[in-house]
Amino acid sequence: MSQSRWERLMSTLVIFASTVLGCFSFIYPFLMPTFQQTPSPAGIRLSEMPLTMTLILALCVLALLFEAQQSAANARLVALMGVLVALNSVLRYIETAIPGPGGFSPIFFLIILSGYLFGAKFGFLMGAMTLFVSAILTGGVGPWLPSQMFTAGWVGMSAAVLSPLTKRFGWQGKRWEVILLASFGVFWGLLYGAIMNLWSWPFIIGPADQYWQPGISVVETLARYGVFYLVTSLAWDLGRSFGNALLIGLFGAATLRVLRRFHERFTFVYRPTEV
Amino acid sequence: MPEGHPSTPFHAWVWLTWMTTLLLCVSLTRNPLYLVVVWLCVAVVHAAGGMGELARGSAPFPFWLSLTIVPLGALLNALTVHVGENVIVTIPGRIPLLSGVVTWEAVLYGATNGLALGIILLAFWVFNRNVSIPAFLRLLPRAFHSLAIVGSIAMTFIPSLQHQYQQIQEAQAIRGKRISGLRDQLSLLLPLLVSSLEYAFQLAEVMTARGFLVSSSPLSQRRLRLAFLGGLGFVMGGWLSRFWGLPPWVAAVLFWGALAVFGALIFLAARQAHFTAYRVVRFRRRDALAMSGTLLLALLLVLNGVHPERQFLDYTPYPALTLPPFAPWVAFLLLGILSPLMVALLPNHDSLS
Repeated sequence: MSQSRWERLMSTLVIFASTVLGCFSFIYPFLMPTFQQTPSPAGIRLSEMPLTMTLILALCVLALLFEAQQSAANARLVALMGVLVALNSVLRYIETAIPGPGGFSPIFFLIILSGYLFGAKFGFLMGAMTLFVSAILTGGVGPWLPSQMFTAGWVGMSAAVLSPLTKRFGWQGKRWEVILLASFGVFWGLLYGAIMNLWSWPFIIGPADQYWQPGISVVETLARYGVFYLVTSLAWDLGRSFGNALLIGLFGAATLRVLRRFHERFTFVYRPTEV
Repeated sequence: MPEGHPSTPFHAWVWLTWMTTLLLCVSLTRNPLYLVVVWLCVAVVHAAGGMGELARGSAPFPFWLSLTIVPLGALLNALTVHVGENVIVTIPGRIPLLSGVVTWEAVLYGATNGLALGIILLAFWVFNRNVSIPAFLRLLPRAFHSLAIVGSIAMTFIPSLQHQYQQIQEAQAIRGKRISGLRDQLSLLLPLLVSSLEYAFQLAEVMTARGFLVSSSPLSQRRLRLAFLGGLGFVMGGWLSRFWGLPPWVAAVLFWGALAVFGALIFLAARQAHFTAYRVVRFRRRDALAMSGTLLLALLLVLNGVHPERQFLDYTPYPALTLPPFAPWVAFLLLGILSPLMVALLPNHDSLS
């Protein structure tokens, strides 16, 4: 196997392992129903699970950040990311000051477009760094930050999957490209909320048909989470979904044109021929 | 402000240690007596303010918010968890969730959980107020220096974004375009994006001219990746060992092994990064002094964590309410949370700076 292919394989393995471990840390309570069960149904909340989850997610974010920062290997990409993160952080700052309807957040617009155009690693960094920088700006640093960084990073990372699809069907620069990205925004608007709920859902108390209890089966857990999500989060997350679709629909085509033009300038590499 | 002055901010490591110790503390104990001591300490540190240039006085909002969560937690838990022997009242009928006995055990447990949450909120508030943005960025390990630069660029670019936005607005006004509604405001975003990207391009040229380079040999990258995979394998192994019902020490060994691997990796990767520091922030003796109290407490908590019985901090009001254990020496060690405040109150001796 050639050296570059070996490098790529190793890189993919690190990303895959960190992602799987991150997923596992979110669904851990579903898989281990009797973890630290105490005499009371509320006893599960005595455990150190939230801390363990945060710690493991932080380790996964570290591994992914380390791997992804290889994509920002030259000054141009570092500067580009810095400026895009600044723009996105300001959008989040405005959103914090003047909240939009429901869970609407303008930050996903640039995260999705960056991941789509600049690749999975860049997209991950864009998502994670936006949340990190804006958390410092708005004083929002807390134990929830690793899971927010991780999930927003996934949004950007997964957007890269759409790029080969639009290339294959020849949709680049056409209306279908924007429709596809807007649908992707709708999908992630809901999924982001569903994942972020998992950070706290197993550790809070509420109606028995909506909350997790030690010892229940996986199917029952999923059913309860479904009810919980429908009751508490769907309306909120729909605001985010429609917001993503609206922003991408209105500004997606023009922003993509600008980013594409700069993409060529930023990724231009001069390699002298060997004599 | 001269270094060593009592109101000079502490080194960011002091607050990071303080914050981490508090999180450990809150995660490991649900003994309400100890939590009350911890809350009082954090509230005093919050109320003191003036320990750094960012902490100008204390805001009452987080203080009251952290207190409000306690009765709310008690009420919610009492109404929804019908477990315990000391019954206060019975809610009759078949009202979903609410019907059943309301017990003192549930009240205490809910209040304790609320108190723990209140401590976390208040502690992060103190952390955010006392650690400046540059100091926070400096906390990033050197292994992630590219990301620290991304963060620095973002932070320094944000103020100039506002200036650029105003310039674009003025240019549009000169052309006769009236900016009135939200739609018009949004139409300014594209020119802002273009000018920002142009700025990024110029910045990149300057960085390249000044010798910015991210470089490391492919061999070391390969080794680092292999080690990262090993570390992630340790974490996964630790979890699976709990899942398969292996003894807890197996998971503990694997988790600590993973932490050691990640720590070593960050250290090794940091050694490959070369950069010039234009302003070195010294870790002074007063920083070490302020850190020592919380470090001592952290040590106790770690010892408690590895102790199989966990006799220091464990307490649960279920199934029947008992008086929580209270050891004065544990409470005394918890006062270590106050150490930044105590050091800040010390007179300004040269020996401490």
